[in-house]
Amino acid sequence: MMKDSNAELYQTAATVFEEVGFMFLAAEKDSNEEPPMEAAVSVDFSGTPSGTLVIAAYGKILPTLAANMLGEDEPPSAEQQQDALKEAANIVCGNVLPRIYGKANVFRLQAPKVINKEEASEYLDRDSFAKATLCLEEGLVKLVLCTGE
Amino acid sequence: MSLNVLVVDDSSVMRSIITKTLRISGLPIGDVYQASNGLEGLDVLKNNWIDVALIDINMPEMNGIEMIDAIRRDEETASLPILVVSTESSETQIEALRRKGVEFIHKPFAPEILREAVSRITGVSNDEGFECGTLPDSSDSF
Repeated sequence: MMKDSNAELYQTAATVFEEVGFMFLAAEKDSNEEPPMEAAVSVDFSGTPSGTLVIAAYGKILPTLAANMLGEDEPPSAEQQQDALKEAANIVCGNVLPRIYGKANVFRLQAPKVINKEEASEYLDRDSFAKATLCLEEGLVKLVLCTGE
Repeated sequence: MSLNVLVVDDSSVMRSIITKTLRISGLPIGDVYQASNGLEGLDVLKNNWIDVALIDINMPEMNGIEMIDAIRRDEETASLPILVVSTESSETQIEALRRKGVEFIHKPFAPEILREAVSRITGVSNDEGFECGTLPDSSDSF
Protein backbone atom coordinates (compact mmCIF):
# COMPACT_ATOMS: atom_id res chain seq x y z
CA MET A 1 0.00 0.00 0.00
CA MET A 2 1.29 3.47 -0.87
CA LYS A 3 2.15 5.40 2.25
CA ASP A 4 0.60 8.78 3.00
CA SER A 5 3.07 10.79 0.95
CA ASN A 6 2.12 14.15 2.47
CA ALA A 7 2.71 12.81 5.98
CA GLU A 8 6.01 11.20 4.96
CA LEU A 9 7.23 14.45 3.39
CA TYR A 10 6.18 16.44 6.46
CA GLN A 11 7.78 14.05 8.93
CA THR A 12 11.01 13.74 6.95
CA ALA A 13 11.39 17.49 6.60
CA ALA A 14 10.59 18.09 10.27
CA THR A 15 13.24 15.57 11.29
CA VAL A 16 15.87 17.05 8.98
CA PHE A 17 15.28 20.63 10.14
CA GLU A 18 15.38 19.45 13.74
CA GLU A 19 18.48 17.23 13.48
CA VAL A 20 20.51 19.26 10.99
CA GLY A 21 19.30 22.80 11.60
CA PHE A 22 18.28 22.56 15.27
CA MET A 23 15.01 24.25 14.26
CA PHE A 24 11.83 22.98 15.82
CA LEU A 25 8.17 22.99 14.91
CA ALA A 26 6.14 25.84 16.34
CA ALA A 27 2.44 26.34 16.80
CA GLU A 28 0.73 27.73 13.72
CA LYS A 29 0.35 31.47 13.93
CA ASP A 30 -3.12 33.00 13.92
CA SER A 31 -2.15 35.65 11.40
CA ASN A 32 -3.23 34.92 7.86
CA GLU A 33 -0.39 37.02 6.55
CA GLU A 34 2.33 34.84 5.07
CA PRO A 35 5.91 36.10 5.42
CA PRO A 36 7.75 36.78 2.15
CA MET A 37 9.66 34.02 0.39
CA GLU A 38 13.39 34.23 1.13
CA ALA A 39 14.70 31.64 -1.29
CA ALA A 40 13.87 28.34 -2.90
CA VAL A 41 15.87 25.37 -4.11
CA SER A 42 15.07 22.30 -6.15
CA VAL A 43 16.52 18.81 -6.36
CA ASP A 44 15.89 16.78 -9.50
CA PHE A 45 15.95 13.01 -9.14
CA SER A 46 15.75 10.10 -11.52
CA GLY A 47 14.49 6.61 -10.84
CA THR A 48 11.05 5.11 -10.59
CA PRO A 49 9.60 7.63 -10.57
CA SER A 50 11.68 10.64 -11.62
CA GLY A 51 10.78 14.10 -10.42
CA THR A 52 11.71 17.20 -8.48
CA LEU A 53 11.63 18.20 -4.82
CA VAL A 54 11.26 21.93 -4.14
CA ILE A 55 11.79 23.63 -0.80
CA ALA A 56 10.87 27.29 -0.31
CA ALA A 57 11.75 29.23 2.85
CA TYR A 58 9.60 32.09 4.10
CA GLY A 59 10.40 34.64 6.79
CA LYS A 60 13.81 34.37 8.49
CA ILE A 61 14.57 30.69 8.09
CA LEU A 62 17.86 30.95 6.21
CA PRO A 63 20.09 32.90 8.64
CA THR A 64 19.16 30.61 11.53
CA LEU A 65 19.44 27.43 9.48
CA ALA A 66 22.90 28.35 8.17
CA ALA A 67 24.16 29.63 11.53
CA ASN A 68 23.01 26.48 13.31
CA MET A 69 24.44 24.16 10.67
CA LEU A 70 27.78 25.95 10.63
CA GLY A 71 27.95 26.55 14.36
CA GLU A 72 29.84 29.79 13.93
CA ASP A 73 29.44 33.05 15.81
CA GLU A 74 29.70 35.21 12.71
CA PRO A 75 26.51 35.73 10.69
CA PRO A 76 26.50 33.42 7.68
CA SER A 77 26.99 34.93 4.25
CA ALA A 78 24.22 34.90 1.64
CA GLU A 79 26.06 32.11 -0.17
CA GLN A 80 26.29 30.04 3.03
CA GLN A 81 22.58 30.57 3.66
CA GLN A 82 21.69 29.30 0.21
CA ASP A 83 24.12 26.40 0.59
CA ALA A 84 22.46 25.46 3.87
CA LEU A 85 19.03 25.34 2.24
CA LYS A 86 20.44 23.32 -0.66
CA GLU A 87 21.95 20.76 1.71
CA ALA A 88 18.72 20.55 3.71
CA ALA A 89 16.85 19.90 0.45
CA ASN A 90 19.38 17.26 -0.55
CA ILE A 91 18.95 15.43 2.76
CA VAL A 92 15.15 15.69 2.70
CA CYS A 93 15.03 14.36 -0.86
CA GLY A 94 17.44 11.51 -0.16
CA ASN A 95 15.43 10.45 2.87
CA VAL A 96 11.86 10.92 1.73
CA LEU A 97 12.07 8.92 -1.51
CA PRO A 98 12.91 5.59 0.17
CA ARG A 99 10.32 6.31 2.86
CA ILE A 100 7.63 6.58 0.20
CA TYR A 101 8.85 4.14 -2.44
CA GLY A 102 10.90 1.68 -0.37
CA LYS A 103 14.61 1.07 0.11
CA ALA A 104 14.81 -1.40 -2.75
CA ASN A 105 14.35 1.43 -5.26
CA VAL A 106 17.41 3.24 -6.61
CA PHE A 107 17.19 7.01 -7.07
CA ARG A 108 19.87 9.29 -8.52
CA LEU A 109 19.81 12.78 -7.05
CA GLN A 110 21.16 15.74 -8.97
CA ALA A 111 22.96 18.58 -7.21
CA PRO A 112 20.46 20.97 -5.55
CA LYS A 113 20.06 24.32 -7.31
CA VAL A 114 18.63 27.69 -6.40
CA ILE A 115 15.47 28.57 -8.33
CA ASN A 116 13.78 31.94 -8.58
CA LYS A 117 10.64 32.79 -6.67
CA GLU A 118 8.39 32.65 -9.73
CA GLU A 119 9.57 29.16 -10.60
CA ALA A 120 9.15 28.09 -6.99
CA SER A 121 5.62 29.49 -6.87
CA GLU A 122 4.78 27.63 -10.06
CA TYR A 123 5.91 24.35 -8.47
CA LEU A 124 4.04 25.09 -5.23
CA ASP A 125 0.81 25.79 -7.11
CA ARG A 126 1.12 22.68 -9.24
CA ASP A 127 -1.01 19.60 -8.67
CA SER A 128 1.80 17.59 -7.09
CA PHE A 129 2.40 14.15 -5.62
CA ALA A 130 3.03 15.45 -2.10
CA LYS A 131 3.03 18.76 -0.26
CA ALA A 132 3.92 19.84 3.25
CA THR A 133 4.32 23.04 5.21
CA LEU A 134 6.47 23.32 8.33
CA CYS A 135 5.72 26.12 10.78
CA LEU A 136 8.93 27.05 12.57
CA GLU A 137 9.61 29.90 14.98
CA GLU A 138 11.59 31.69 12.28
CA GLY A 139 9.03 31.31 9.51
CA LEU A 140 7.58 28.75 7.14
CA VAL A 141 9.10 26.04 4.99
CA LYS A 142 7.00 24.77 2.11
CA LEU A 143 7.87 21.58 0.31
CA VAL A 144 6.47 20.02 -2.81
CA LEU A 145 7.33 16.69 -4.39
CA CYS A 146 6.52 16.52 -8.10
CA THR A 147 6.82 13.26 -9.97
CA GLY A 148 6.67 12.45 -13.67
CA GLU A 149 3.99 10.39 -15.32
CA MET B 1 50.29 10.56 15.64
CA SER B 2 47.21 12.16 14.15
CA LEU B 3 44.90 11.40 11.26
CA ASN B 4 45.00 13.52 8.14
CA VAL B 5 41.48 13.59 6.70
CA LEU B 6 40.08 14.38 3.28
CA VAL B 7 36.44 15.55 3.21
CA VAL B 8 34.83 15.52 -0.24
CA ASP B 9 31.35 17.03 -0.56
CA ASP B 10 29.90 19.61 -2.95
CA SER B 11 28.20 21.38 -0.04
CA SER B 12 30.52 23.76 1.80
CA VAL B 13 28.13 23.68 4.74
CA MET B 14 28.32 19.89 4.98
CA ARG B 15 32.14 19.99 4.68
CA SER B 16 32.16 22.44 7.56
CA ILE B 17 29.82 20.29 9.66
CA ILE B 18 31.94 17.18 9.10
CA THR B 19 35.19 19.02 9.82
CA LYS B 20 33.85 20.48 13.06
CA THR B 21 32.41 17.15 14.13
CA LEU B 22 35.80 15.52 13.60
CA ARG B 23 37.57 18.29 15.51
CA ILE B 24 35.41 17.81 18.60
CA SER B 25 35.27 14.03 18.32
CA GLY B 26 38.19 13.37 20.60
CA LEU B 27 39.94 11.50 17.80
CA PRO B 28 43.51 12.60 17.04
CA ILE B 29 42.75 14.68 13.94
CA GLY B 30 45.61 16.36 12.10
CA ASP B 31 45.11 18.28 8.88
CA VAL B 32 41.64 18.27 7.33
CA TYR B 33 41.63 18.84 3.58
CA GLN B 34 38.44 19.70 1.72
CA ALA B 35 37.35 19.15 -1.89
CA SER B 36 34.06 19.88 -3.61
CA ASN B 37 34.05 16.96 -6.06
CA GLY B 38 35.86 13.75 -6.93
CA LEU B 39 38.37 15.35 -9.27
CA GLU B 40 39.45 17.88 -6.67
CA GLY B 41 39.59 15.08 -4.11
CA LEU B 42 41.91 12.96 -6.25
CA ASP B 43 44.15 15.99 -6.72
CA VAL B 44 44.40 16.43 -2.95
CA LEU B 45 45.24 12.73 -2.59
CA LYS B 46 48.06 13.03 -5.11
CA ASN B 47 49.73 15.85 -3.24
CA ASN B 48 49.14 15.07 0.42
CA TRP B 49 49.35 12.21 2.89
CA ILE B 50 45.78 11.26 3.73
CA ASP B 51 44.86 8.64 6.35
CA VAL B 52 41.11 8.52 5.75
CA ALA B 53 38.69 9.97 3.18
CA LEU B 54 35.07 10.93 3.85
CA ILE B 55 33.24 11.08 0.52
CA ASP B 56 29.76 12.13 -0.59
CA ILE B 57 28.13 10.33 -3.53
CA ASN B 58 26.11 12.92 -5.44
CA MET B 59 28.58 15.53 -6.67
CA PRO B 60 29.17 17.35 -9.95
CA GLU B 61 32.25 16.81 -12.18
CA MET B 62 33.13 13.44 -10.65
CA ASN B 63 30.77 11.69 -8.24
CA GLY B 64 31.77 9.71 -5.19
CA ILE B 65 31.49 6.28 -6.76
CA GLU B 66 33.77 7.29 -9.64
CA MET B 67 36.23 8.74 -7.15
CA ILE B 68 36.22 5.58 -5.02
CA ASP B 69 36.83 3.45 -8.13
CA ALA B 70 39.78 5.67 -9.07
CA ILE B 71 41.21 5.39 -5.55
CA ARG B 72 40.92 1.61 -5.56
CA ARG B 73 42.56 1.35 -9.02
CA ASP B 74 45.66 3.29 -7.92
CA GLU B 75 47.98 0.99 -5.97
CA GLU B 76 49.24 3.93 -3.90
CA THR B 77 45.75 4.65 -2.57
CA ALA B 78 44.02 1.29 -3.03
CA SER B 79 43.94 0.50 0.68
CA LEU B 80 42.88 3.97 1.84
CA PRO B 81 40.12 3.77 4.49
CA ILE B 82 37.00 5.38 3.01
CA LEU B 83 33.78 6.42 4.69
CA VAL B 84 30.88 7.39 2.45
CA VAL B 85 28.66 10.08 4.00
CA SER B 86 25.54 10.33 1.88
CA THR B 87 21.77 10.50 1.73
CA GLU B 88 21.83 7.27 -0.28
CA SER B 89 19.23 4.86 1.10
CA SER B 90 18.98 2.17 -1.55
CA GLU B 91 19.96 -1.16 -0.01
CA THR B 92 21.34 -2.24 -3.39
CA GLN B 93 23.54 0.83 -3.68
CA ILE B 94 24.79 0.61 -0.11
CA GLU B 95 25.69 -3.05 -0.56
CA ALA B 96 27.51 -2.19 -3.79
CA LEU B 97 29.49 0.45 -1.89
CA ARG B 98 30.44 -2.00 0.83
CA ARG B 99 31.75 -4.40 -1.81
CA LYS B 100 34.21 -1.66 -2.77
CA GLY B 101 35.60 -1.89 0.76
CA VAL B 102 34.08 1.29 2.14
CA GLU B 103 31.97 2.04 5.20
CA PHE B 104 28.77 4.04 4.97
CA ILE B 105 26.87 6.47 7.17
CA HIS B 106 23.62 8.13 6.30
CA LYS B 107 22.83 11.86 6.40
CA PRO B 108 21.66 13.22 8.76
CA PHE B 109 24.09 11.60 11.18
CA ALA B 110 24.70 11.97 14.90
CA PRO B 111 28.24 13.11 15.79
CA GLU B 112 28.95 9.89 17.67
CA ILE B 113 28.04 7.84 14.59
CA LEU B 114 30.66 9.70 12.56
CA ARG B 115 33.27 9.32 15.29
CA GLU B 116 32.59 5.59 15.69
CA ALA B 117 32.75 5.00 11.94
CA VAL B 118 36.05 6.86 11.51
CA SER B 119 37.45 5.06 14.53
CA ARG B 120 36.38 1.69 13.15
CA ILE B 121 37.82 2.06 9.66
CA THR B 122 41.10 3.61 10.81
CA GLY B 123 41.66 1.53 13.93
CA VAL B 124 42.16 4.75 15.88
CA SER B 125 40.17 5.44 19.00
CA ASN B 126 39.68 8.40 21.32
CA ASP B 127 42.80 9.57 23.12
CA GLU B 128 44.34 6.14 22.97
CA GLY B 129 46.32 6.40 19.77
CA PHE B 130 46.34 3.66 17.19
CA GLU B 131 44.74 0.30 17.87
CA CYS B 132 46.65 -1.74 15.34
CA GLY B 133 44.86 -4.79 14.08
CA THR B 134 41.56 -4.11 15.80
CA LEU B 135 39.23 -4.16 12.86
CA PRO B 136 35.58 -3.48 13.53
CA ASP B 137 32.89 -5.96 14.25
CA SER B 138 30.59 -5.61 11.27
CA SER B 139 27.55 -6.14 13.49
CA ASP B 140 28.15 -2.81 15.23
CA SER B 141 25.98 0.25 14.77
CA PHE B 142 25.20 0.21 11.08
